[in-house]
Amino acid sequence: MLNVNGICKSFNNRNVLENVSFKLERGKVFSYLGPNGAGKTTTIRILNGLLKFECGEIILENEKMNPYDVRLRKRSGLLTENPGFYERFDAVKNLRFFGSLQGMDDNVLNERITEMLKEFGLYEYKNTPVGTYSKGMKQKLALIRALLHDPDIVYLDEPTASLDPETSLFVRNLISDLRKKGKSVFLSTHNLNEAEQISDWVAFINRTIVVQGPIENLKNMLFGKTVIIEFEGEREKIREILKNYDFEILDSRIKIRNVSGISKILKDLLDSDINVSYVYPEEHNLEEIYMELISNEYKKH
Amino acid sequence: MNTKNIKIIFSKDMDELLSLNIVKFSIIFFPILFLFILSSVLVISFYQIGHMSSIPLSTFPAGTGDIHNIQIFYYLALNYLILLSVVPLGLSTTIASYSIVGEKQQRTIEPLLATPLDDRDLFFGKLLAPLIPTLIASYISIFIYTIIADYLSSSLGKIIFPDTQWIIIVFIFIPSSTALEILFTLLFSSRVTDPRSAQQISGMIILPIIIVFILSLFYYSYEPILLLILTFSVILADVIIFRIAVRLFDRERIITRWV
Repeated sequence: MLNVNGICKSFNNRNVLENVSFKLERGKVFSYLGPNGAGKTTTIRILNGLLKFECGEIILENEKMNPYDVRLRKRSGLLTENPGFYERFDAVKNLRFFGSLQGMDDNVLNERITEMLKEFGLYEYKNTPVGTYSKGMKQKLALIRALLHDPDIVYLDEPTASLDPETSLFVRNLISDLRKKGKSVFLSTHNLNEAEQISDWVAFINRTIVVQGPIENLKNMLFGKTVIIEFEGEREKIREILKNYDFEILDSRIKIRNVSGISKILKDLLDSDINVSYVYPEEHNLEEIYMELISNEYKKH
Repeated sequence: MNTKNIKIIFSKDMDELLSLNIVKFSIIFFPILFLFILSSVLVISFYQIGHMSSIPLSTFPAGTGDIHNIQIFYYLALNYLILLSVVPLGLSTTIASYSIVGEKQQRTIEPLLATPLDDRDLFFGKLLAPLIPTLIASYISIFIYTIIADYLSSSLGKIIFPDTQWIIIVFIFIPSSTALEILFTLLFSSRVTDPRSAQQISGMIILPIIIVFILSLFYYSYEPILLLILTFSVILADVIIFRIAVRLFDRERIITRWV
């Protein structure tokens, strides 16, 4: 759907993006993670024709895009970091304004506004000035604005930042629904738990893409396959049996790294009268991956 | 240009501007104030002309020859009309700056620029929004002034307005000079960090230019052709500044400085 090949960007001779490449596929959720100032919002702005890129190329549906290309803006819906609205206008007036600029027909637009306000639970506030809305309500309204014209790609910049848990859950469910409808979602977030739950592909950026792929692949790449065995028995015997493996013994658990097969290890342990009560893979979450990557980045610099 | 998009921007800005008390106040108050002052001066002048015999002939330029009261009154009424054209200039700067400040304060510029809106359409919509209410308010005061002037001149034997000069000043000079003022405000708004300073800079640049034009009008107001040439040079400046403003409109600068 969208191919980004080696784009770069600088502000005042300071590189903020270097050789950034990735693919956004139809019906997938792509999470873009990185520390503050890593270039997440800059990437989103470039992909929405708000900032120009200085090198590389952006290809949307096999068509090469120019900087500030209007085709990028027609095909995408953007949830900005700050949900800016005309505060004295009500929700309907705001949405009608932005929907009209997207070229929507008046009748279709009015129907869509009503339908989406109901879906997002804002219908009863439709005639209330947006300036009186809570942060969560504004964020929902901004999501409606981003989705109003039924875009193929939805860019969400920190969609759940400082939202209450209920609204955050609403946003996560919405992203899952968008994926089911075949929309591509580009999600920039600091919420690693959220990204882990809903992403098909994760990219870590720190001016350039540090690493990207499905979460499981990243875990294996960074930590290898690690297995935990809970046991009862003599530790010396265990050390002898596992002498050819990368392992450590922690209380009543054995942690074995980079395991390719577990059956031989289990057989050897059982044959040596080691009582094995549980065997399970060690779980790493996205936060651990993130921290590992960040610490590697710090070491580099 | 996409007229539908221009209309959308214009309607939104009009709605927004007219919801601001300061804008409503300015639109109503300043034309009334100027109308009151200039009409009063015109009425006083009219009664002074009634006592013309007490004014020495040396008051007028050498070689003036026979001057009828109606000619003197016409000359004064025309020049006060030119002074009345200052109203839309002052109003438009205030209103245009609110239109820009509003986008910054409400952080709407990023979602606005993320739509497929063309920069020219955005500029044209932003130009029309302060221009139309300003002109309507100014025209109401000008038409009342014209009725007063005609009422007074009729007692001197002639209805003086509208004539060619009046038509040129009201329908060409005032809209074009007001547009020029707004364009300067828009031009600078995309080049400075704080949109309020755009108002100040544009005011500093445009006002001396307009004052020169207004002073020139005092001299050329009796010559329709010269008046037309002067006025069309303002229209030419409008076209040039519009093109420059669109070309210099820098999305990146606005996004990075305003958002």
